[in-house]
Amino acid sequence: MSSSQCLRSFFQLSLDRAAHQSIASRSLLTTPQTACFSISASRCGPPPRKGMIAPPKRGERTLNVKKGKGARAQDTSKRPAPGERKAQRKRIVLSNNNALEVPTLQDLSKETVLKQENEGQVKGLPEAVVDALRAVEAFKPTQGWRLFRRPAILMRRQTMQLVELVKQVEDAGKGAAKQTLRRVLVGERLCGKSTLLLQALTVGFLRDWVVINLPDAQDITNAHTEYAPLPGSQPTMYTQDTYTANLLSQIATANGPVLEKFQVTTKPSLPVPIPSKCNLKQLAELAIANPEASWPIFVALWNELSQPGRPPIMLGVDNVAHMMKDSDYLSADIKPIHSHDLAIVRHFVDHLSGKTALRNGGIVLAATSGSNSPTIPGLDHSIQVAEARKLDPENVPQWNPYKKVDQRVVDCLKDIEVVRITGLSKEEARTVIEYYAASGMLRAQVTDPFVTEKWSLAGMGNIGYLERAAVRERI
Amino acid sequence: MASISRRILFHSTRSSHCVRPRCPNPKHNIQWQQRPLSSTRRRFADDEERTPRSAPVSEHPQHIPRPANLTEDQERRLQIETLIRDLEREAPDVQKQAQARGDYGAPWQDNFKMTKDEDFETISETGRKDGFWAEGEPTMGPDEDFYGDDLTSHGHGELQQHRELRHYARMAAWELPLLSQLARPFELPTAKTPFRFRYTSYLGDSHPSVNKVVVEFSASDIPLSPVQKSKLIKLSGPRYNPSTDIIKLSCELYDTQDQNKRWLGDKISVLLAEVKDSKDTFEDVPFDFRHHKPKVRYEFPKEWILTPERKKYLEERRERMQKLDYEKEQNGELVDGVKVIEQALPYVLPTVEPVTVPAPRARR
Repeated sequence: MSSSQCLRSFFQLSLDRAAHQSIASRSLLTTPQTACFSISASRCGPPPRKGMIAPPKRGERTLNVKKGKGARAQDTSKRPAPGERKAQRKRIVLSNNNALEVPTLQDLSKETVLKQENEGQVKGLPEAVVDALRAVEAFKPTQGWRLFRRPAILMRRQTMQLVELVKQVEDAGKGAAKQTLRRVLVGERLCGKSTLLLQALTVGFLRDWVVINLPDAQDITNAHTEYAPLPGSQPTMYTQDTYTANLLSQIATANGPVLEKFQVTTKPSLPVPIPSKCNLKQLAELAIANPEASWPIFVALWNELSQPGRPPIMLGVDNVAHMMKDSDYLSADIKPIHSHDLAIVRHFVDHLSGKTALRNGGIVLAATSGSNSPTIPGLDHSIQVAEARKLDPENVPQWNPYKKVDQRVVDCLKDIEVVRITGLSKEEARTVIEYYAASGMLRAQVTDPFVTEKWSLAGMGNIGYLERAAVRERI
Repeated sequence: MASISRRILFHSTRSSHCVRPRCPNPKHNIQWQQRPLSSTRRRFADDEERTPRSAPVSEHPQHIPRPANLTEDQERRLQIETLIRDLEREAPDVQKQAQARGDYGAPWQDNFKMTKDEDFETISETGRKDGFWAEGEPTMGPDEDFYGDDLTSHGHGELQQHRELRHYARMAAWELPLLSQLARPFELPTAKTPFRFRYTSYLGDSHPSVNKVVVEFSASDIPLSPVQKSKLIKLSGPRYNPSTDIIKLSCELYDTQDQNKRWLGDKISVLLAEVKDSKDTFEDVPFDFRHHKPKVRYEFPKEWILTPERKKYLEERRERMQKLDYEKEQNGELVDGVKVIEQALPYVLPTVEPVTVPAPRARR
C-alpha cells in the first residue's frame, strides 16, 4: 500500500462513513483494511522487467563483442578457496631439501636428554617428537625451521635450567612428595621464548610425560570459537566446546603412546557412553566425535591423570598475556568475560598460580610474547617483582596504589618464578653459527671475529636477530 | 572671548531663567564650575601692586551707584531703566562713540566694582603652566628657559645614565668593600631552627611577589615518630618532595612579608599539632607521590669502561682465539660454509663444450 493511500484511509476512517454512502461503492474503504501503517516491505512488488538480467558472475565467460578498451578479456583465473590463504600463512615447514644434512648432528633420546654434557650443543629432534610437537602446535610459522634439513635445537643455558627442573620433578617423584614447578618465560623480542617452551615440551615428550600445550592464549580469548556457560558453576564459568575438543584431540595424538598404557580406573559420569576397557587415549578421542561433551571428558581425563601412578604432566601456554585480561566474549548481560572465567583458562591459571597442585608432579610453563601481546601492567609488575625477589627478598617493588590493576592477575602471579632469557654467550653463538654453516646456509668461514661481529649485530646474542644476521638476510 | 569669571557674572545676571538651556543637566561638571563662587579671598603674588590698579576702576565714569532699600516697584523700574540703558549702549553708534572715547567693556552692576575684562583676569591664569604642548604658543609669551642651545631629552637621558654609572662605580669602589665588615661566618642550622625562610627583594622595585614568603623544612628534622612523620608527609600532599625529603610551603595572601610569614608559622604549628594527634594516624592511606617525577640519570656502565686491564684482557683473548682458530684450520676442524657447499655438491668432471659445426648442405 502506497503511503498516500495509507494516509487517505486513515483520514477516511475518522469521518462518518454514513455521510459518504454515495461514494461508498467506489471507496477504498469498502473492504475493511487492517494494519494501515506497516513497516514490512511490500510483498507484491512490480514484476521484474524483461531486459533486467543479473550481470554475469565473476569468471564466467560471456560473449563480448565490444571493441576498444572495454573489450579487454576478464580475469578468469581461479581465486584461492576459502581458508587457502590462511593455510598458506600458517603453514609449518620443518624441512628444507636444499639444506645439507649435518653429519655431526645427534638426536636427543630419552636417556641422553637429561645429561649435563649437552649444554651448548646443537641436538636433533627425533621423528616421533617432531610429530608430537607438530600435533600440539609447538612450532610457529615465524621460526626458522624451514631453513634446515630437519629440526634441531641448541641446548642453551636456559634450556639446561629447564632440564634441571625436569630432573628435580622426576627425582621428587620417586619419594612421597610430588613437586609442581611453575615458571614464566620472559625475555626480549625474538630472544627465543617460544622456542624454549618447545624445548621444554621436547624434554617432556622424551621423558614420557603427558604434555598439554595451549599453543596461543589469544586463540582462547579472542572469541573465535563458540562458548557456553558451564551449568552449576559459581561464579559462572564458560566452556568452549570446539576448542576443548580440538585440544583433546591434540593431546590424544601427541601423547598417544603414553596414554594408551593407562586404563580408565575411575567411573566418570559422562553424557556419552564409554566403551568398556577404555584407555586414556580412547577417552580423549571421545571428544572428537562428541564436541558438546568435551569439557566433561577433559575433566575426566584430568582426574584420570591425577590418579597415583600416572606420569607427570607438563602444562605449557604461549603468549600468556592474552590470558591476563578481559576476553572478547560477552556474558549474558553484555559485560566482557574475564579470561580467568573461561574454563580452560581457569584450569591452567589455577595450576600456574599454585592454587591446585599436579598430583603426580609436573611443570607449568607460561611463555610471554614480545610481538603480539597486549600490555598487561599487572603481568609486567609481577614479573619485575619475581625477578627482584630472586635478587633480594626484602627489597621488592610495590605496585603504585593510585593506579588501577587487575587484581586477579596479580593474585595469580603472586609467587611465580621467572626464567629470564638473555642473549646467547659467544660460545653458544659460535656453535649455532657453525651449525648454520654446516647446513650450507651460511657461506663464510666461522672464525672468532666473524662470530663476534654477528653476535654484536644481534644485540649481544639475541638468537632471533642472530638468525636474521647470519642466515635470513645475508648478502 | 570673555574670561571664565566674566561668564559667571553674565550667567547670574543676564541669562533669562525662562529660557531653558540647550543642554540641560550636563553629564559632567567642568572643573572650574565645581566651586564657582568662593568665599575665600584670592591670593595674588603682587598683592601690593594690585591695590592701586583697582583704584581707578572704582572711579569709572560710567559707574552707576545702586540705591539701597528699594521697594518691589522701584526695583522693577530700576531694572527696566537699566535694561533700556543697556540696550541703548548696544546700539552701533553708541559703541563707535565709546570706542572713540577709549572706553572698553560694558559697565554694569556696580556692586562688584569690576567693570572691565582686565579686572577679571586672574594672575594664576597668566602664570599657568600648560605643559609641554602649550610652550612656545604666542599667547603664552616666550619660553624663559629655552634659548635654543640645550641638549635634546635623549642627550639628557644619556648623561643621566652616565651619571648613574659613575655613581655605582664609585659605590663599588668605596662602599662595597665596607660591606665585608658586616659579613658573618656561616653557621649550620641547629635542631632548633629547622625552618628555612626565603624572602625576595627586587631592590626597591615594585613587583607582585615582593610580599611572598616561602618556608622549607625537612620532615626528618622535626622530632617525630615514624608514624607521625609519615602522617606529616601524607598531610603535606604535593608540597612534599620525596627525592629531597623536603616540605615546601609558601604564602602571598597578605600585603606584607611579616603577615605572610606569620601565616606560614601558624600553618606549620597547626600541621604539627595535627600530626602529633594520634587519633587518626593515616596508616591506611598509601603515600601519594604522583606529583613527583624523579629525575633519571643515566651513567655509563662501569663494566664498559676501557681500563688498561680490560684492554689487556681483550687483547689477550683475541690473540688466544686467533691462535685457536689457526689450530683448527690446520687440523681441518674449522667450519667453512663455502667448502661445505663445494663438498656437498656432486663432483662433475669438466667436460669440453662441444663445438657446433655447420652441417654441409645436402646436394640434390
